[in-house]
Amino acid sequence: MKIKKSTVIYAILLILFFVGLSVRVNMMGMPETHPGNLKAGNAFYHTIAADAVANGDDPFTYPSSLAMGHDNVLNIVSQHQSFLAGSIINLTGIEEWMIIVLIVSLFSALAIPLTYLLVKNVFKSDILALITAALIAVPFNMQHWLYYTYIGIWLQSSAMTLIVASLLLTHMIHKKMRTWKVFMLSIVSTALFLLFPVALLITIPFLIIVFIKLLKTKNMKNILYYVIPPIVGTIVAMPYYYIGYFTNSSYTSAGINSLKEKLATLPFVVSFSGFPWIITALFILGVLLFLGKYKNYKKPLIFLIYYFILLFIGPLVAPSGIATYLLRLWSTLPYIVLPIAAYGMYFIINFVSKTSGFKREYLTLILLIVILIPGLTQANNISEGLKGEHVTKEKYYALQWIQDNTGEEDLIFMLEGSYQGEAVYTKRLTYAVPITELQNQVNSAFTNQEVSFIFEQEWSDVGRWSKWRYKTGYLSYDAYEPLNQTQDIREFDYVFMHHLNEQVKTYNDVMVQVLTENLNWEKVYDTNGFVILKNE
Amino acid sequence: MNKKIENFIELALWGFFLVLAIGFFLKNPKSIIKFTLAYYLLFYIPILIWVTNLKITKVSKLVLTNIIGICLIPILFAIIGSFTSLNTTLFILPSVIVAILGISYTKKK
Repeated sequence: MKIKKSTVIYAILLILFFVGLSVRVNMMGMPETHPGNLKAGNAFYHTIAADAVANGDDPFTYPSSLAMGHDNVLNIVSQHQSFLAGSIINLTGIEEWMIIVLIVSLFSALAIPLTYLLVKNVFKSDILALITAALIAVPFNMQHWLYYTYIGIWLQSSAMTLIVASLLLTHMIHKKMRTWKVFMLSIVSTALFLLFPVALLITIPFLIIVFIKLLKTKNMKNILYYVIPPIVGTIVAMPYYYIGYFTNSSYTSAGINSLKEKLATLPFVVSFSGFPWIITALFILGVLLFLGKYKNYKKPLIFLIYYFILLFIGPLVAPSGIATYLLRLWSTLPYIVLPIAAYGMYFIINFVSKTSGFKREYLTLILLIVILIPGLTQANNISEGLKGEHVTKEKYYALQWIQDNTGEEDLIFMLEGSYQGEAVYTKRLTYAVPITELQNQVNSAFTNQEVSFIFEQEWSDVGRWSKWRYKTGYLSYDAYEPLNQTQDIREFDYVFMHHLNEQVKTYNDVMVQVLTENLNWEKVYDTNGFVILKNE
Repeated sequence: MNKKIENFIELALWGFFLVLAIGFFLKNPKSIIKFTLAYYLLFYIPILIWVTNLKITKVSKLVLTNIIGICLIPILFAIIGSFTSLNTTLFILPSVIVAILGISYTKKK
């Protein structure tokens, strides 16, 4: 029996998709018992936001526990992903972190077949498309992957996939205009706007070109299909984007920014240095080949020029808020660099095939294996290297105890040495002492033989992202005053402590003794090194 | 059998196994079933009704159905969510509307 070529190609593509999905999911891990290996405050925030949507809370305001106790502070974080995950959480009852990790990984892995389709459509070569898909499927460098699915910049991770989808649909429209293609491009672009608006800057020139093309056809039906979804999306999102961004000077005042300074605040940003030298060399070869066939590849070359100006010169002159997001868009580099590197690779395969007589198909298969094996090893190293949990099972149980046993209005003092915003899992308004400050307090207590009750730290709060603004009309707003940063531990309802080490345990024991013996406090939880005190 | 229905059933089966395989990453059998059904019925099937008879490859259909599903349905949630608070019924509503419109569109064609 002869197997059809297309069947083999689809089978390989399916394998690449599942390898890619597996790498992404397993890098983070999804224990059923606790949020486990989620990293960074953003990741915690997104899971809590999705859970809030699932519970029927207003998706356009922050949970009050994260907005200084106010339940109407505008949420300026795009809610698209929260709706997506929230609906599944609501219908299945599966823990929020499990669903959101799976959804983010799925979004990211869908870029593998999408890139295959894009490259196949542009270059008309299955082999080139498969090589590109293999390059996208597995990591070469930890730096790139921290950004995609790990560090917590999840909205952007999903936006990368939508950029590839936009490019694919734009190309399909240029080949042959069809209403469904126009509508799909419009839907994907609207979702991108609702997910990560700055990413639209990459696709906007194509969207404008498509729109001009549509106007020329004078096909009213197509024009309406193209413009209605973004108009509806804008009407829905405008109050939040307007109040959050357009009235915020860091998003509106252009100026020359120091790129170096910006990069220092985004250590996880992807850059050319993150690619293995062989990929960079192949990318340069690919660009040279493009230049050699300028007439055939005029459009990809113009896109490349625009892309690099936007991402590498844009951050220097854009308002600082937008510049930060443009730098984050450097994480789209693999989607641009890898297809062109694959083109360089494909050229070499053809050259070797012609000179040696080896079949191109066999050479490609060998190459796919050569790409996948080191990539998988690298993925395993990443997974091993980042196994430490920010929220262990024991810690999650203690945080959950607060969820289950305290009143919604109770104030919680987190004296546990916070370091990634894990207090969000109390679902209560919390005041957190970061780990560095806790160490200072411990040192000071040992030196002065006395614990301090007054702290100068921060509330666990994301309301600051929208400057604690709340809507008073469609585009009008007012703002709350943030709570005082100077706080007395004795005025809280509960104190949460963690015996991080022997020294901290001694400090915690003294604090417990002072509060329970001298003041009216009671120890209500003492398990696995976590202690919770209640102010009676 | 009608060619359109045949195409739909074939892609629906492919899609089901694809979503089921994605769900397997959840490891717990109950979660796998719940996730597969929720994702499949909310985000895959309603869009597939529209996509089935487009003149593109099966792989393109499978990929675009997933992409449009996870783009379009949350946009509809956002519209509903800006008027009222979402509950289980409202989470199902957009998919039902998209599916009904899809069936009537396909019938007309």
